Amino acid sequence: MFGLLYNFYKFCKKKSERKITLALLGLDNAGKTTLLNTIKGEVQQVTSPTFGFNSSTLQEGKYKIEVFDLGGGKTFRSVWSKYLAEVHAIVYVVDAADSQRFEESKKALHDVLECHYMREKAILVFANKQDLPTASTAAEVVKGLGLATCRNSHNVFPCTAKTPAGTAVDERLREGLRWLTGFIDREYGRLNSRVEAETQEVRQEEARKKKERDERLRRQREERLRQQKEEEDRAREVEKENALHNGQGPALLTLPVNGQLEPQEAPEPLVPQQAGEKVQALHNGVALGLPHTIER
Amino acid sequence: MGLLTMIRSLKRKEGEARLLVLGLDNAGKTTILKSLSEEDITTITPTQGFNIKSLSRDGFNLKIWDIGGQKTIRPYWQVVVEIQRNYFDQTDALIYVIDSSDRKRLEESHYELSQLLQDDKMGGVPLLVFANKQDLMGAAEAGEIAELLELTSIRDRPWQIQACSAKTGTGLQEGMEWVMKQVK
Repeated sequence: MFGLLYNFYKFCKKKSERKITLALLGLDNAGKTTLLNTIKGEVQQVTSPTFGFNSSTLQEGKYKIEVFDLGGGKTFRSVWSKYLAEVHAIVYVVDAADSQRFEESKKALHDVLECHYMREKAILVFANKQDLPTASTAAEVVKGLGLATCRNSHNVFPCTAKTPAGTAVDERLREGLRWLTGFIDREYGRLNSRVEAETQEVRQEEARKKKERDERLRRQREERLRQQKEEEDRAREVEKENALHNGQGPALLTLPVNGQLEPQEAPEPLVPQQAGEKVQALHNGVALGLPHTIER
Repeated sequence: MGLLTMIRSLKRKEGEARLLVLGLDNAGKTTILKSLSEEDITTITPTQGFNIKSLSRDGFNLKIWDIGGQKTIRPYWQVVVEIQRNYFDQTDALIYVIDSSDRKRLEESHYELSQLLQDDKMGGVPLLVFANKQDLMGAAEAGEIAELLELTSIRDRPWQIQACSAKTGTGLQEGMEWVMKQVK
């Protein structure tokens, strides 16, 4: 009886706890990693440019949020698209104090939204670095990023991710997250099943490619082995031939052997040049350069 | 068992971290290590077995194992991973070095790395990829490397690509800074 009740309790609990995945995007130096650290409560951490991937977990209401923190450097943005299938929404961070890069940021965001895994997913925009005197307002950021024509649901929150020592964490960070989870909440069932299906799709595609590549590598390795073996065989043959040349056999015997060998060699497509060189090298009295390692 | 665990945990508290440096032959593993410890890098011969180096950093004592990358030595990578797991719980970070100018061998490099990461014993271990030889023409960029090495399919560990040149020393400190953050 108790077991039954307990299972029922567990079932309810499981149902009420929801997991979502977010990607933290934006240009380099926008403040993504700092913002994430601040939300996690790890204030005053010095960050260095991210050129990779880091995942953290947050709790917001009944949501367990996994955040992918990705690098925003120019040479790294191309990989963002690899993560879009498995996220429920995007957190996009803009350095509001650097209006000169709005155009670049707009382009980067636009590229993300082009991806078909992004349709109908929400975007939470943080207009970061409001503590700086040159910071643009939310309205200016909307204009700068061209959000007026954006068809995804979005909302802009001005904020200051880097909290000075001794002051409270900017409440607007949580507010933004609350807006985002609220939005996801309304569509969770549909959105989540879509994310799961698309993630599966991408994984399968990856697995297929991996299989293909492994197969290709295996074939290459076999080919290399075969070539090596052939070369060795050829070298042995040449050695035999050489022994004949060195006056062991009568002159009469050498001629027909040579005459027979040449037409046989000609149609052989594999590494004829190398073999020729080896023959030459042998004739010149240079030691035969067998491969150093035998690959397995 | 209890005693051994105790010894291990004591060692941890003292601030020791174990790093593993791997990569194909000629990627520049030993050069990076020597450059980090400010040793002469003019004459470096291929590593046939392995070197163990100690580096002190932010009060941490890093024990770095640098293992040769020739094809004949690569099977021993697994052995070293096993040793680190058995005696020191786990490797704290894996530093994988690639020659970013040698595109032909990037596929081979990818294959060896994927074998390593598949290993259960390397589960969750942070990965730093040193994209070495950036001073050479045609070196691959971070995003390209991430795709070629299929780092973008990793979800269970943090990873970072650090462009560097062991020869000139650029990028090495930044890479080690990232490693230190993961270790702490």
